[in-house]
Amino acid sequence: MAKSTNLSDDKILASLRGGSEERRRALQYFFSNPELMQWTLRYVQAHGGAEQDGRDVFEEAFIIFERQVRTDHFRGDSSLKTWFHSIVRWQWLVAQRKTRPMVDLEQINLPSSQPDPEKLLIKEERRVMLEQFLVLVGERCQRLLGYFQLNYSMQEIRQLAGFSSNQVASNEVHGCRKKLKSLIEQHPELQEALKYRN
Amino acid sequence: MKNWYNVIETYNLGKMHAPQRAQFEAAMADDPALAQAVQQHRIEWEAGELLAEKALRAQIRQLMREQADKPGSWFSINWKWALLVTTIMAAGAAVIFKNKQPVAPAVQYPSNSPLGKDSIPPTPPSFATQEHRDTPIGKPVNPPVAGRKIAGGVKAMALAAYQSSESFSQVRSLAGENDSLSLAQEAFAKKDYRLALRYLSSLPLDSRQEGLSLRGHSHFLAGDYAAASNDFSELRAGGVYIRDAQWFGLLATIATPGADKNNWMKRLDAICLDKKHPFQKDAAALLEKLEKR
Repeated sequence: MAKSTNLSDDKILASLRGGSEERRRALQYFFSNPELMQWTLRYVQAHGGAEQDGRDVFEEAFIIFERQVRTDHFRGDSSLKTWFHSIVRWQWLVAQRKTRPMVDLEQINLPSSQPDPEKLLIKEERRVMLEQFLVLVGERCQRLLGYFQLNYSMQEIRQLAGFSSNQVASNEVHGCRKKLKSLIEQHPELQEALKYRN
Repeated sequence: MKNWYNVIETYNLGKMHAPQRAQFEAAMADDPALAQAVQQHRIEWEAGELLAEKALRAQIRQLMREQADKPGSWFSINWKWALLVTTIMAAGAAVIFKNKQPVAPAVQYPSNSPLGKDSIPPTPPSFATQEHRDTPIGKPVNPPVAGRKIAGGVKAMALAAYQSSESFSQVRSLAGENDSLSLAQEAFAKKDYRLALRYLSSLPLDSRQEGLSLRGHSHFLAGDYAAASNDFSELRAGGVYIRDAQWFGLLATIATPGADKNNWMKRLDAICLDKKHPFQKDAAALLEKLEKR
């Protein structure tokens, strides 16, 4: 396997969108690349955070980055490193805003051609409500829906969940999606509470 | 007429250009069914993303564990850089040492930092004083304000009254040792409240109450009193942690800026009047202090 630090932007993006082994390699690139981590730690520490804050921000930034790649929000207009750095800066402000609501997210200039990253953030109060609601879906469905959302193939889901065939995996995932949809429909109070307000 | 239903995802993910977005929002205003479908999609998407995050974090943790088993790999690749940086730093330090008197290592955080003087440091290293390092889990834990100057308001009183409950140390998960609750307990015991909160970002299905209790205490000790109050509020609805939740939830509410005083005073009174409440004496002491203010 090539050294993770030598992967080009295109390869990393392709890996993040690829099969399980490729995604694993992309994860390895991010989490074993000292350059990205060190930059994040330096940035957070230079802006009043502790080392652990930096590590937290790094992981959160990766989660957002992965989501942006998966939902085609990252178009490659800037280099991966530049984009990741901007997410780190954004994420640090988001973290600060939790304790200091006056921190202004406008301070961060993200590359203008990229779609609004805030649309991809799930606010804390919504998380709490959704987590409580997701208990109703059941643990098995939670796992399957998580894999499905990460764009895992049915073959990967079959292997991870131990189904006998891809068709069974597909049926199970479909059933879980239906269950989630119908549970949401059955809970108008949740819909009201989670009414999206910009 | 355009079929807006086909572009709900594009709208919800913020990928629509401004003119089309304006048209879409106008269509939503005219068509409540479309607005409802948008809402439903957003909830489904967010729910899926939370579950995706959970799976991704599990992969990250696994990767980190694997990396931890291979120490030195980074150094073996980058030893030349490390040597160069160390040499430069040593040379720099020598120059500084020659030209300057040593300065006391006082840590000062900028005023807009979450570690600023008015806030509670959210990570254990920031307040890992001898006092805190020596406090075993299950024994009363001083709040992270110990030794810090906080104006003598109600918040300070609530923090001073905070104690970790005995039952808290007995929280046990039903699952194996590597489940998120056990990992969170381990992190909590090491006073890494931030890490504990990460493990508890999704609560374990089979030990939800234990998870909520631990998360409430972690939020409290990390200085996020509003979140702690939320977690304890759910526990107050019933279950084995109800009394703990009444007391610690109350303290979290009192410590939350802008909390409704009438509401928390009623809750405090209720505990004071309940002679069988395990925290009745603590509540009475707190009430007395508040009345003396």
